[in-house]
Amino acid sequence: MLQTEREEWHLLQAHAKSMSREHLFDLFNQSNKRSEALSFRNNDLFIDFSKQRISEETLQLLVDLANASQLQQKIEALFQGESVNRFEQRPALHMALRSPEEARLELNGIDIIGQIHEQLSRMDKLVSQLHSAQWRGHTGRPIRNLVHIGVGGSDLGPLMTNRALCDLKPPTEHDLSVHFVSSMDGSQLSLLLKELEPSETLFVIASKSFSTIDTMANADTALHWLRNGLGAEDRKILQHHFIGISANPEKMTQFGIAADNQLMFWEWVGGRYSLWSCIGFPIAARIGMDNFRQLLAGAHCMDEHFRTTPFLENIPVLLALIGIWNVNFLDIHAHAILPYDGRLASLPAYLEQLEMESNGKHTTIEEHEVSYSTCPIIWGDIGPNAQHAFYQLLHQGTERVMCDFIAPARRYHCEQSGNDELKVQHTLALSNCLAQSRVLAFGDNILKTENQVPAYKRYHGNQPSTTILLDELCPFSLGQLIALYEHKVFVQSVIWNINPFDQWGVELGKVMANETYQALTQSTDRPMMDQSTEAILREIQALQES
Amino acid sequence: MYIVIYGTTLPALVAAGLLAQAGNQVRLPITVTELLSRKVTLKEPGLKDLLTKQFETGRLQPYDPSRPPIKADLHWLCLEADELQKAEQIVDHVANHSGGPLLFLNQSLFGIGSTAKLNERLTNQEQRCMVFVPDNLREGQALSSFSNPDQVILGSDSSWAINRISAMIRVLLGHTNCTRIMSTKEAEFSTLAANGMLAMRISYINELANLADSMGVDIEVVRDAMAGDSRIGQHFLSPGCGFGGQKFSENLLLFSDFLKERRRSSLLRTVIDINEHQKETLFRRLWRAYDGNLKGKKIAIWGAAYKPGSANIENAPSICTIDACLAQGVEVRVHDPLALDNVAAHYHNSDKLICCNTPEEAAAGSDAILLVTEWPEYGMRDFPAILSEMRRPLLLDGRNMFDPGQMSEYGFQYQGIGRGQVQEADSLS
Repeated sequence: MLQTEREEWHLLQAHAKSMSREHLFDLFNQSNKRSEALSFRNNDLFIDFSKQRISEETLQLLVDLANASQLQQKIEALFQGESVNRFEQRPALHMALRSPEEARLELNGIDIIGQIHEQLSRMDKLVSQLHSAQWRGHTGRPIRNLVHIGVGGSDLGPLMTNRALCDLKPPTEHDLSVHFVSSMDGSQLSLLLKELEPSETLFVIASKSFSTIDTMANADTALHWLRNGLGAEDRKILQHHFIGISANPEKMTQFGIAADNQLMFWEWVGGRYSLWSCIGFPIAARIGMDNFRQLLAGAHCMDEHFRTTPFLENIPVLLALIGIWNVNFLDIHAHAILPYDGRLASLPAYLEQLEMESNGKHTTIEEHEVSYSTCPIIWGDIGPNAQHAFYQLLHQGTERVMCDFIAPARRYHCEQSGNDELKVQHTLALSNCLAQSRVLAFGDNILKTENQVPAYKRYHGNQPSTTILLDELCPFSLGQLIALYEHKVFVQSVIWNINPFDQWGVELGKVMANETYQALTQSTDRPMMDQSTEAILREIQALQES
Repeated sequence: MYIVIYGTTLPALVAAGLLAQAGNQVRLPITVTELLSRKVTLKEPGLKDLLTKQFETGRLQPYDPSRPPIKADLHWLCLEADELQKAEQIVDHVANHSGGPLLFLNQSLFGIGSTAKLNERLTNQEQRCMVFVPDNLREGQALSSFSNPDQVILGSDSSWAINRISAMIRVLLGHTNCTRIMSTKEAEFSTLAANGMLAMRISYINELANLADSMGVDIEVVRDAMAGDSRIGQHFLSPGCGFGGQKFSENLLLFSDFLKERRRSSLLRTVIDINEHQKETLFRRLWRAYDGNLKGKKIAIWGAAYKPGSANIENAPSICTIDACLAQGVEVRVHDPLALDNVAAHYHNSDKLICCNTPEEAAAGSDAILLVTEWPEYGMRDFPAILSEMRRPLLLDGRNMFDPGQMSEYGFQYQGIGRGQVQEADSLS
């Protein structure tokens, strides 16, 4: 049955008609128990949905739709390792990556929990070698720089996590810096290589297929740089200066990565869900293996909550269903991610990939065109900075936007004295976070002023938002937070009846890039493009030849 | 005199023994039985006999530090560098229980200004104060360096205390012309400054040695030329695989941090970094000799103590070298005339570390000898016999003990430090 033909869908449409007339200011005036009824806690994470344009009835109707869509069965199927990635015929078992060692899960008769923990302990061993300064480069000097080369899921997760947890110190007295390189044009790498000493630099090549052109191009440049710097044969360089992380061991071997330096993950780990696997190597290198395991534990905690909690109290389910409500029933198609903590600067980019690559789809599981909106446009920035940029549109623009405010309650509290100024800064950030969500929700109603203000100074409010408060930003709470969004994405895919685990939309561009590369590099016998592209090609060629 | 010693460090034990021998009544916070069960410190030549004898005479007696303090003419502090808090507790404990004059002699170096701060806890009265007298001990010659110091530095801000301590020194050492009197701060400063100077000389010559290696120059020739200049002299100018030792390293780190904090100076930090790098030079040469594949190799370490005459392995280059080898799956066969017990204790969990009774036993079947400590006895061995028992004739001399020509004649592949035979061996890429 089409989702839009369900009775539950129609009931929500009818309900939306009445709710869309309600202003958040009035909803709060109707009940002083609203926030109590619409906020929830799971361990280190508190979430407040009361500034969403919903009532308790809305949640019940949304849960009815979820039940009609067989959400519980589909969650079970996901966790059991069924081939939920329909078009690629494979499971999506990122939750298994953070299961405790004593858990059991078999896939085609293979104990994958055992495999996972085997790889984790191999990773632990390599990380320990780095931290004890016993990973040696070609000249026998210890490695002091780690350069992680990856793109997309092999980059965004570790990058975001390392920035988020930058306050943690690696468990080593030795200097070990961790860098990330992703851009295809080599601009990040070329800048970095000027600063680094080849004999002390280790490259981590992370690619699920080990054939991603962006990553392999950077890896080739790195290898060339080491050849020049060390004057050693490739076999030696690869033995002492390269680690590979991939689901494709043959390709790693083909590139020349030594068997001991290969870390594995599996086809059933999606790239954008892979930071929990050995792709998290640069995280463990930066924060230590114990902290990495805390990150996994936080995510596992959210997995258990997601799998076992009734929908009306289930945080990822509610976050997802309220998103559905906004997109499909209140007609809101933009979603801003607004962390009020500079350490979460990369979270918006991370969630852009997680949500838009997962649910930016127009085909149902049954391969029909959808007749409703799916994933909204997601973007964001550090909240206080965005206040000086795009908040104008949030407050007075014509677009409706839903916002997620994310902040840690405590910061700088356990550090030595002398951080009073920084504590003040954190309090300042928190007060801005709360102030902005209030103004967005209530508009100038909160001013309680009788005076007439000119139209250009008016704030209509009624922009819905969710506030997520972490007790503090630590590996465990970050694990919870990321897993929360992962499960949100899954729940929304169930309601939209789409496959969140593939990304066919990015394939054609890669093929066309190959063809265009020929057009740029061959003067004769080359494929012809459309007239726009041909005109731009002529400009480029003229400029390059001059 | 009645003297109470606080601490059981090497300077504490040496002072206790020699002060008792000089006829003083000395109290030490450790019994003779406890003392004899401690192997480390008692390897200092002559110390065990001295202490046993002084306990027998009754002039040296143990006391229980948890009991009320003993009334004494002199309270002698010899604690570790990280025991400032303990020092404060001791000073408070004694001060609170004693009226009248109180004299502390501090040999523990907690930093510049720390003796003055401890002094403040004695309420700063004229006849209640603390002096700072750095110990001049050289491990391996601790007793003689206590009795025959180059000089005695006496740091005090009280003429009463200066008179008292000077008199004691006169009695104890029999001569006074080498006593230098200054403020406590200046005394602490001087001690750290001398320490830093020595470290700088070593790191400087080691940097030159690494440069010499890459230029085909023999650093020993250069060193002799430098040492012949009377402004420079020969001390602490031997290239090698780095310096160690607990007190030396701790003081250096302390002074380096102090300079960094007060002056934003990284001079001594650089000295330390060069030394840390130098401590692994033998390992890196081994690594290069085996092309980065050391798994399954056996190597002999000759000398583990941070210097000859000592059993101390704290911060010794041998430890970095052994750690690096073990991490690569190398079997490490160690010989040291004094420090073997300490090595065994340090590596009690490792089945890849074998303690050997002779240098020959360590070398037998090995793929290389790494000479780390220049014990004189390593100089005169039956090298052809040693060579015939080795798997590969690699000799890495971390102290330039041997003559390269002679070792090559025996058939060794010999590398010293800065002898100019190893192109780019230890340079950056």
